[in-house]
Amino acid sequence: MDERALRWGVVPEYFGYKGDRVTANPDAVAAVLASLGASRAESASP
Amino acid sequence: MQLYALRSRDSWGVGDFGDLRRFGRWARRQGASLVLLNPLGAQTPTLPYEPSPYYSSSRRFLNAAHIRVEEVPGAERCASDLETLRNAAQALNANRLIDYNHVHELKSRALKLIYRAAPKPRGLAAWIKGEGDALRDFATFNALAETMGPAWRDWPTGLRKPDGDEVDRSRAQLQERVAFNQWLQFHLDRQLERAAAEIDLITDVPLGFASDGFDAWRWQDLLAPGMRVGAPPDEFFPDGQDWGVPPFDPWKLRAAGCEPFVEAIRSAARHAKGVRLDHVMSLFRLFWIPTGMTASQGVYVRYAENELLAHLAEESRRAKAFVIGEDLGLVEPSVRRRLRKRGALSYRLLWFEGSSPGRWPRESVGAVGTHDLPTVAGIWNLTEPDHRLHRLRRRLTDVTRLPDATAAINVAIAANRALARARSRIVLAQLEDALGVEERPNVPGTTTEFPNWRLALPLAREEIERSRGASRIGAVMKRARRNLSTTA
Repeated sequence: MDERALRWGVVPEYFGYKGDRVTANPDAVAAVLASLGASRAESASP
Repeated sequence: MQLYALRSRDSWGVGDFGDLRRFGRWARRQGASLVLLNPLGAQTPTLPYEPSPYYSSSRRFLNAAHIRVEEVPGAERCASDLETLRNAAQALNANRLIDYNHVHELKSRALKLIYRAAPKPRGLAAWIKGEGDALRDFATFNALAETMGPAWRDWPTGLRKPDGDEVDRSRAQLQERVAFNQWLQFHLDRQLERAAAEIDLITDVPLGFASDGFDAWRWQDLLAPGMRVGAPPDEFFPDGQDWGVPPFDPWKLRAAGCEPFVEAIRSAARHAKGVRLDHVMSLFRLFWIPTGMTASQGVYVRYAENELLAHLAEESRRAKAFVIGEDLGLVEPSVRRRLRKRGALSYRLLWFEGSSPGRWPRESVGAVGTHDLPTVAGIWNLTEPDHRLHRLRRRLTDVTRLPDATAAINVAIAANRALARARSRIVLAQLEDALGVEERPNVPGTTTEFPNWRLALPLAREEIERSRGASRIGAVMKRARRNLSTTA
């Protein structure tokens, strides 16, 4: 996941219930960034 | 306690604030210090009437289903007109399944009569003024929904935002209904205040609100478009969960001073000694599911935790109310540490904890389960519909040391005896367990398969107060000296 997604607060991965690392789905990340209006002025993480 | 489920012989088909007041008085005499309630948020006044307290139209205003009709000043002036409605409504008490639609119709007709008889009670004008634009907008939304249907995104363009000129014009045209909805909120607030005078309350702040309700209409500019909130896959939901509530855009929320969050806490704390934050992880991050994707494809998005925690602490101080963070499930240890440092109480459940209640942390609230989890009788009698949870019977055996043939009610008493010995500042006994109820209030992940949020307790409030199970749990708590403090 790129720096931009991190800056907008998207969590790159999390531990699943089996203890495995789950990486953020790239399509979902793109949709979240669009919803946040990530094309507007860049921001620091909330 | 699920307030809707607590009906008395005088209820109009659903538990109300009059029932809460009387139950609170009784519970206090039994030694209880607190009553934890389900969320009390308003529902849109249209049919079908939404039963889920975790999917309300508004977290700020109160659910009109909980009004005790006869206790609204002015009811005495139209007593004869109310009689037919009351008889029809009280007949609904014969069915355990709450008929919210019918309750709403009957209470609405009754309240209309009372409003005509006494439209300007003492204190109303000042109260409306104190509630400001939010109440005006809420009352307008309800009046519009009554006229145009609940789906505000389908209303004419000029009505889809609360601050438009067309909304002003409609407000003037619907002035009578706007005034009625303000009047109704005034009486709900007064009735809840009276109930809170009998026993200290803990109110529950849900994670979100309905996507087509008032809060979504009011705060639409702060919401993340095309997103819903849910949870990633876990042991019980291998496909994840989609809760259907819209998330706030964390950036816009922060820029707005977290006003919707502050308002929700302030409203919940108004007549409460404590507030319970459902899914406390939401202060730190939320699992977003984009439109067209499944819950298993969602991603976590961070929130402005420092600001949200600071607001929570400020509102807690302001209302002199303690905070319980519902930290069940997957919660990062650092989150629990930060909440503890802020003085929030953690949650500990007999179903989940491997350790004895005597080892639970002092700064916690202990209980057997929650509204989303099985009852003692459901597990002990193996009638719980989710068979994967039948393994919890072993937990009951370990805790109570009772043989297989023991009646479920005796197991519930023994489980509460163990709970009473918890180090937790507060322990919560559940009415379902005191009455041997096998069904739980809600089965997450289901919609029509179970009567979620619609099942009344099997006994009327008057019978509950005479029931052996309730008095035995009271005695167990007293013996453990659990009832000495009224504060957390």
